[in-house]
Amino acid sequence: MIVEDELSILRIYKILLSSSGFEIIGMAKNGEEAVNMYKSFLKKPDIIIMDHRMPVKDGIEATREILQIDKNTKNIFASADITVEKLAVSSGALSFKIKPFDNECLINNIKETLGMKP
Amino acid sequence: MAGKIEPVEYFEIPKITKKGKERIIDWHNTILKDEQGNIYATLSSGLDITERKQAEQKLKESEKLYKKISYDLDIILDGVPGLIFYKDTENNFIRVNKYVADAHNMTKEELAGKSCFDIYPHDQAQTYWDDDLEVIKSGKPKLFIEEPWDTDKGRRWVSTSKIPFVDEKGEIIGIIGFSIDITERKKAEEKLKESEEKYRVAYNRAEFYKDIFAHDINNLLQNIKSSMELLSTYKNIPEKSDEVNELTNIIEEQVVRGTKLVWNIRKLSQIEETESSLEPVEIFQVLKEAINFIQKSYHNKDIEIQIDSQIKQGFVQANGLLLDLFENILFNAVKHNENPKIEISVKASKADKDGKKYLKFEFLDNGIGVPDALKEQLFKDISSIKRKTKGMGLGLLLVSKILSIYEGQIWVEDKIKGDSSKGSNFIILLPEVL
Repeated sequence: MIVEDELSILRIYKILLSSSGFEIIGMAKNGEEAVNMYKSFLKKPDIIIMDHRMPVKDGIEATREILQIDKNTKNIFASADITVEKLAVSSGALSFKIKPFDNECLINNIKETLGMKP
Repeated sequence: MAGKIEPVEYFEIPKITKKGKERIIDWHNTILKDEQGNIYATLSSGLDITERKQAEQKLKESEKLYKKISYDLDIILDGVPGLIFYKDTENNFIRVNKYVADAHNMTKEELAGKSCFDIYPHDQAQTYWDDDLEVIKSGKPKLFIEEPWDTDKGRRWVSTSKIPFVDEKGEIIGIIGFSIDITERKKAEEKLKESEEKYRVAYNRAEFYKDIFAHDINNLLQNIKSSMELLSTYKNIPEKSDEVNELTNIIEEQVVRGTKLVWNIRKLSQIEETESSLEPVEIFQVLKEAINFIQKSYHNKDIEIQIDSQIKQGFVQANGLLLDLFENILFNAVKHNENPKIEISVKASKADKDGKKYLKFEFLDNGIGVPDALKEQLFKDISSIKRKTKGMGLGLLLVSKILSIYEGQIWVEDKIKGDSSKGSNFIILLPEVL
């Protein structure tokens, strides 16, 4: 699942993740939409790629709410805002990717988090 | 003692007593004459006036001393660069220095006996009197009271200290006040405060721009970097031509966005640093220019922008920023749209609001819409607070600032009322020049 308000980044994630063999089951454009979408999933996503600075509800708040629903949710932060790295990790993010990062780096990080071979 | 008495001869002479002490004797000599005018006797009397003379001397010295002290006190009091006054327990001035007298265009003598209520506005006089009473009742000084002081030459500020005025029996008979004019210090403090406030605002603004700029630039770089990496993988794979096209478009869009971002930063600093002079501008001409700019900038996107208006011409008080206003609203509508075909309709009409005539422009798009929770916070000036969630980007911040210069208004509604996901309607009002 991808949570990102930048439409162009969403388009890139779509191409990148699909070509790396991942299935995107949901794309939310802000934190609130993400929480609602997560609640609506019958089969929960294996991993969430979460932006931080988004309208209505930010990534940290959304992460906290999602972890309250399921504390085992795996979550990677991908944000251009380095100032929230510590807060994101303390709020439950498994790792924090600061933009701009390499595609390969993100894919490897997802695989590691899911226990797959890079 | 019949007959004419000659005038008395009078003199004082010192005499030494048997014990060797000097006494002052007051001698009165009178000549006694018979009826023919012949002197037949003299009458002399002596009075010891030593104590009286000593008392008179002491009194003279005391008076001289008093005069000197009084003179010295006047010199001291009048020479002090501040207001000095004594007041009785009934709020009347007993004595003031020249500074007080000059400040009130009166003589010291004219001020003596006057109450504060005779000189100052009631509220101000009451404040002074309340302080006096506090000192009189408590018997304790009240020091460094900073208070306004209205004079013929305008408001000044003084720092006043009041102490109990005590007589020789220890009874409080009034207060002694001493005030220093601190107007210049106050002005300097005010200037410092203003300067600090300006610095704080400028610092916050710089931080805000830096924050948005860094965040947005990093996002742009992420898009370009990721797209380039994917392009290098796909460039020789024919079945990936759709992805290659899309990634190329994304890179081009990022260049447009980056250019716009830098342009908007420059415009925002321009607005904050210079005064704007406005003149009547034909608005439809500018709107068409903005539409052309957007279509050229996104030549690889399918964008349809239509003007839906019965009015073909209208004037508003504006300047070169009017083009930026329209460009940013249109740019925003394109940026937040994921449809293969971007449709924007600009509806223009006339509107009356609060007795003023406006030209109303509605920008209806088929984009992702603005969630209800974001609608109200979208145009708040958040440059002075830290951004926690994303609100208005620099583009809409610029739009908002331009509209405040033009005395216009902006708000956003759903294109289809009640469904924020079906696109938005950005509405602006600009005062019409009739």
